[in-house]
Amino acid sequence: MLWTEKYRPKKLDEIIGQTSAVKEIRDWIEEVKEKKVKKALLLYGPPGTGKTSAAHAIASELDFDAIEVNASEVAAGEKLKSVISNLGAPSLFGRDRLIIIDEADALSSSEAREIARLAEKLVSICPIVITVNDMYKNVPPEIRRISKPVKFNRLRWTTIRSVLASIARSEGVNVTMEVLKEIAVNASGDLRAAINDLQAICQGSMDLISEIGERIGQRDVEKGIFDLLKAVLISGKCGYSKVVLRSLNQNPRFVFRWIEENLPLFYKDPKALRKAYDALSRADLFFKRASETGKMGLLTYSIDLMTFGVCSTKTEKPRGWVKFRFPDIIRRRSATKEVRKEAKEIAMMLAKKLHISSSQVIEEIFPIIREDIKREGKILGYISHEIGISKDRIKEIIS
Amino acid sequence: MGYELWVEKYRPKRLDDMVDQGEVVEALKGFVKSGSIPHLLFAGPPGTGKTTAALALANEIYGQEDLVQVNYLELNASDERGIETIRTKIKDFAKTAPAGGVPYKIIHLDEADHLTPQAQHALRRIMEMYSSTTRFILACNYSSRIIEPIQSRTAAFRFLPLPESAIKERLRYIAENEGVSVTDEGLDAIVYVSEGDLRRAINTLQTVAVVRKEIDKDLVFKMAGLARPEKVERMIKAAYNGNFLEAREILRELMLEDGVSGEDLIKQIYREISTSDEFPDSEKAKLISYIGEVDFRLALGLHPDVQLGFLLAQILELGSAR
Repeated sequence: MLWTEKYRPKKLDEIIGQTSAVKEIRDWIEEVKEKKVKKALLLYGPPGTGKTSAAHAIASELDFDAIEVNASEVAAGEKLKSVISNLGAPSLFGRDRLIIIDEADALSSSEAREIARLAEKLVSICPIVITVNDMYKNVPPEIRRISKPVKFNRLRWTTIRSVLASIARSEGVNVTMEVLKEIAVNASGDLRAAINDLQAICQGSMDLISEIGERIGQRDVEKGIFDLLKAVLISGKCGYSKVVLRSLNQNPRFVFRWIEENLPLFYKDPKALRKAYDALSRADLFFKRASETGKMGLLTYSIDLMTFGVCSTKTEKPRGWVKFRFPDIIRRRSATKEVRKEAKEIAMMLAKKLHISSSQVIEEIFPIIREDIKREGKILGYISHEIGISKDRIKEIIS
Repeated sequence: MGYELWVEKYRPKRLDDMVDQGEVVEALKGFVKSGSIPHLLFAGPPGTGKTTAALALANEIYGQEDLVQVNYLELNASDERGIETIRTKIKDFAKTAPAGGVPYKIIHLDEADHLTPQAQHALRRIMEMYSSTTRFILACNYSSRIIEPIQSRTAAFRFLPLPESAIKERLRYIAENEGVSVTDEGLDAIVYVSEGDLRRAINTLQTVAVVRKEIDKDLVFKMAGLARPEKVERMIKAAYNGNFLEAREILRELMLEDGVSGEDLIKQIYREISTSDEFPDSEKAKLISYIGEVDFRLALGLHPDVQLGFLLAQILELGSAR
């Protein structure tokens, strides 16, 4: 059984790290109970922060039947319409119903508009909970108009680590705090991903466990990242390395980082290293082309170049034993992702006042503020007053 | 925005106060005098006075602060989400008549060369739609990136790079006013790190001045968002002498800790190598073509540190072949 299912919170109180969201949800539940609800509930936030769990917990706290439609399913729009239009009929056991529209960002805009229209009429009879990842991308204004938004935040890595620790205890597996930290930091706020990684490691598929000299569970459930690195950087079977990556079920850009980190530890011949970097550099170009054009098929070339392309430039078999390293850049960056987003927002506000672009603010004005903060000068207070964000918040974001 | 940030505090309010853009200023004053302006295109490197000229022009045409507030709209193409939001903002702004009896409103669109050609065609239509009540001032770094139909509908002004002496003079004036002392080498360093961009130079001066009121070269290099040239030099040498891992570690420090962007870094690498006498000419020629290729790929890729890693691997190979 998947641990993400086994340990899924059943009640609102069990949802971790979303205090203010849970409070807003409770207010909405009160409105439903008093039959005063006017808007659907729109839960938005990054993956793995508890939105779907919250939706089901709401149904159980209300003691309603949950009807869930996942918008990324085929013909979700049709299904939803039929669910909504059948609501007039009494339910099987005469209980009230709650509609959950999961991952609504996957609806096409015409579907979304139609559903918003139907939902608007129905929301007074039948409460609706909608979940999306990004409030502003792919969520049509019609849906936003009929809903009350509630934000779910990325979880702190310390929070994730404590959840992982308690799961490990319940499962009776022995994992060191360093490994738990590694997983928690790497998950960048996504608890579900972290739990999946923990399960994968404990069942032997990621091989990180070998760092602590232990093995739990069977080894060959899935080929792990370390297997991939061995195939790319050490072996001569380059065709095989492609296959390993495809079966790995990991984000290619994440694997790309692993390969780049470890490549120079193994390739000691300058010519081979230069050729291998050329392959990585070209793989990188296809990442951008894929994301810019939306043609995900282009990722094939990235994947081939970073595995087969790197593997085939080898001139000699690496000698000796070298320990694989976790990508340094991911470690350094993942802690700061959310902060960087907020920094951009502050920069946008200042940009308007200073007649320059937000990136110029980040490059040129932030250093001034940063130094001013260290010396408790006058500039911070001034900025805070101008953009209406508290001094402490600005300090936290910009330092 | 008031007087805590020196870029704003010392931004010239009138055309006559501008630093060293004599010809442009004379022509713009002519427009003010005649009371009518065409659509304008300001082209030139960053920090040469385009935004200041647009603001000063508005100040002189409208005369009063409150009229400027309501009749002048500033948009930055790189901060708006596409031409549609620009269209909406322009529409909202332009649908009411100019306030206070002035003949037209002014819309200043900065970094217009960030718009794709398709978006620029849309922009051209927007300009025509509202031309009875508004004038557009488009600013860009390169006028060649602006489509012909817009170029032909605007009066173009070229803002030349400011001479070092003019930048230094302005910096000295500000420093004196703010009670800050700067050594000559310190001034040279500020001009170096800000690449002839007066705005950046003023911001650099203030960053450094927050730290200490006596400024010298070392402090400037330590503080500037740009890397110290020595660090870039160390990185190149490490790769050239066969120590790839050390070179990559310096690269990461530069990018992640010092916050230097890939684009800025490659510019510095180029400057470092093209002015160095460590390499024989034949190697230099190769290096420059490597740098050019990586600069090009930087713009087309997602991971600047990996692209620069490729450059370091090329330098490594070149060094190992000696």
